[in-house]
Amino acid sequence: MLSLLFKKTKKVIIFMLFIVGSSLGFSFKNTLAQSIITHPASIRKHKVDISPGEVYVWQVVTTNGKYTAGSDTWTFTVAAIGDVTGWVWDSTGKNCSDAGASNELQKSDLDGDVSINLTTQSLEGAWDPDTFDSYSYIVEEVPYSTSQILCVNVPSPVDKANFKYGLSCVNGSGSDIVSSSCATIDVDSSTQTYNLGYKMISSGWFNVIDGDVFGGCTSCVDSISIGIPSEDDILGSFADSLISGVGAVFANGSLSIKNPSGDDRYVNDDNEYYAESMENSEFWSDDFSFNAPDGSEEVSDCSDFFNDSLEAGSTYEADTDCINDALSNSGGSYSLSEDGVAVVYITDFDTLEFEGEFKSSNDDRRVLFVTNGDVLFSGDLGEVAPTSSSDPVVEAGIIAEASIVFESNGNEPADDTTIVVEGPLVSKDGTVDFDRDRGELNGYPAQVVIFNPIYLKELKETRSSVVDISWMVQQ
Amino acid sequence: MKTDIHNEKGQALVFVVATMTVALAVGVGVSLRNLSSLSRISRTDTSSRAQAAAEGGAENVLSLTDNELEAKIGASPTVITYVPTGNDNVTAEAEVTVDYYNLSPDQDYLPLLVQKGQVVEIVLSGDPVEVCWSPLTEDLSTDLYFTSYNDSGDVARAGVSASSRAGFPGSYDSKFDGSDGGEDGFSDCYTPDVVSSVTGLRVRSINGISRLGVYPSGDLPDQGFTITSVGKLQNVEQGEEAEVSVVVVRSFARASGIFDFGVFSGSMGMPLD
Repeated sequence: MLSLLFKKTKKVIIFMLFIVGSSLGFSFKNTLAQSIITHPASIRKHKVDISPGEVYVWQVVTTNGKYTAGSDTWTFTVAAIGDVTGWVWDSTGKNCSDAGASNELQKSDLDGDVSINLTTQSLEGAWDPDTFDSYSYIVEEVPYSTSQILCVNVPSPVDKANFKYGLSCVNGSGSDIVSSSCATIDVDSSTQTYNLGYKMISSGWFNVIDGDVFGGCTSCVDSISIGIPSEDDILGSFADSLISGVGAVFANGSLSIKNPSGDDRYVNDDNEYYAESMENSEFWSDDFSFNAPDGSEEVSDCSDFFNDSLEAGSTYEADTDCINDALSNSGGSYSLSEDGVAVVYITDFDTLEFEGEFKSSNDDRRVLFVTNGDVLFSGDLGEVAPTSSSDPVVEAGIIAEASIVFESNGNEPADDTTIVVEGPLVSKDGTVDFDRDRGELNGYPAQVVIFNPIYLKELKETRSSVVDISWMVQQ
Repeated sequence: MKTDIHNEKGQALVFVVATMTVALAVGVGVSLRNLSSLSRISRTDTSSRAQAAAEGGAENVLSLTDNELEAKIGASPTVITYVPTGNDNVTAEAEVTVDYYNLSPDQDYLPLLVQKGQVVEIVLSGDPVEVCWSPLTEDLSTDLYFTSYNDSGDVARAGVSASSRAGFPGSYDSKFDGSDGGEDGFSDCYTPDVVSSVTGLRVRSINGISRLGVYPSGDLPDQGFTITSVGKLQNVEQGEEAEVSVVVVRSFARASGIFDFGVFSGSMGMPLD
């Protein structure tokens, strides 16, 4: 009596014979090897070569010349295998049909090596544009099968910190893309070609509508550094520039606001204005104070602060806890007694948090917050598919001595939405930290700031205004 | 009829703004609320005591709101009397009058001074203006940037480069319009596009201090207030009388320059990205 176990790999069958009783005088053969295995031992391990793409019937037969016994038969097909090769190429600004050696991504283009993994087969490939002549990568001995997932991790482009590579073309078209790094492939020949085009996409950006932008950092590589997507990749009718409409970009240091082609994209208006490397611009207005002016109304119970009508032209002062409570209890809206601006001074250094909407009941009435501390916009605020005409979810001006932070929900996978708020957003000593990333192709700006000029007109009516004075003495 | 105010603190406490008296017509942007905390110095000789009284009188009304100042126009002078605290029995008096500030009939342009990086605002009533300028010091040329607005919430922006590039940082790079050449001693002139029905034009000086001349194309609205304070001494011996006038031009209240920005990241150590 015998039984057998076997294991099939792509090239061999390994089988074991389990013989119960004496095997003396018996020899063994199998349907594949067609060879006689004289087997005096009770257990032996043997290998039989098989070929990919063939159908086999497996049976082990033993005989002593007089009697013959055979195992059950097992029919199986050895999967065919092929090598998958192709170009890993830069499709930025190119057609998917442009794959080829001339557009191949070189090691010098990337901040690291490309890694390749056929996840459905747990096979790793090799990428070496310096060595391979007719392709960039190869994954060897891939079993024939459809809908296999080939993932290629392409590092970020060198010297373009605000961009990353995303898969945009698979064999001449934009279909079969699973994610920004993976494609669906079918393998049904011994040499299978999949050219993979990757284009530079923004790693997260913001858009300012009708407002000036200032970056004060002098010790940074660039004072303002943003990757603007290609015009064709932008969604929601947003401009392919930092500023949409009228405005100018100013920086103490240099500017790096470029699209994937390397073009400067400061302002989309015909009258594009900018000034960079101003060094010490002295743009901060020393006439502005973070202290509430005399006569401000002190507020200690904020439970209904924004539910009551604020007085336009008035100034208020309260601590952060109080105002955060007021925001939480506002129901997402506020109102003023009449057209104008009310100014709220925050007296401590804690973080002012916008966890929900904060909208004015009237376009001609606004609240201005002045705080010594940080300001945080929650990652929960935002929308998935905004447009350039989306309404702001926070309708207030903010002047902070510290930083203004747009919280991100994390990007693995990307799950940030786009938040639209009003400006001015001013950070005197910190930065405005645009942390959000829409992921994938980043077609939407992750943050949109709409400049509201109401403060230019209405702050004159408050004690938060300034004056210019000139003196002349006549003896 | 005069309005009398007696300052019980006495002349020794009359305070002036040192930085504002050292030069004529030096524009300084000041928060209204901060005017009460400005530095004080005392004066002893008669001329200086008269000047101090005049300056004190002017400062007494400087921190009033636009509405409060308007209420003083055409009204009786405000008289502030400083009671002597020393042994000389000399009393100082300041007589303060307020009027609107505008171009005088012999002026072709409104003179203004803009500090480096800062903003001044010109009140307009629908008509554009030509702005001519020169740097305060020849070795530090200045570009100008303009923001105009109206009551409907419209905004327009414009920038202009000076013809001279003296004193700009070596790596400075900008894209502004070219100037139209100078006139009346100004090195450059430019007429910025403004919004329709413009009510305010804000001018920012880049790289240095700019001396401006604003040439209106029509009637220029009032730009603020002229505060005239005349300091006099009483009970002084004959021949030692002194009278000093201080004229202060105070603009209408305006929003600070930071309100021009949609996003302002002032950090010296972190990029805006």
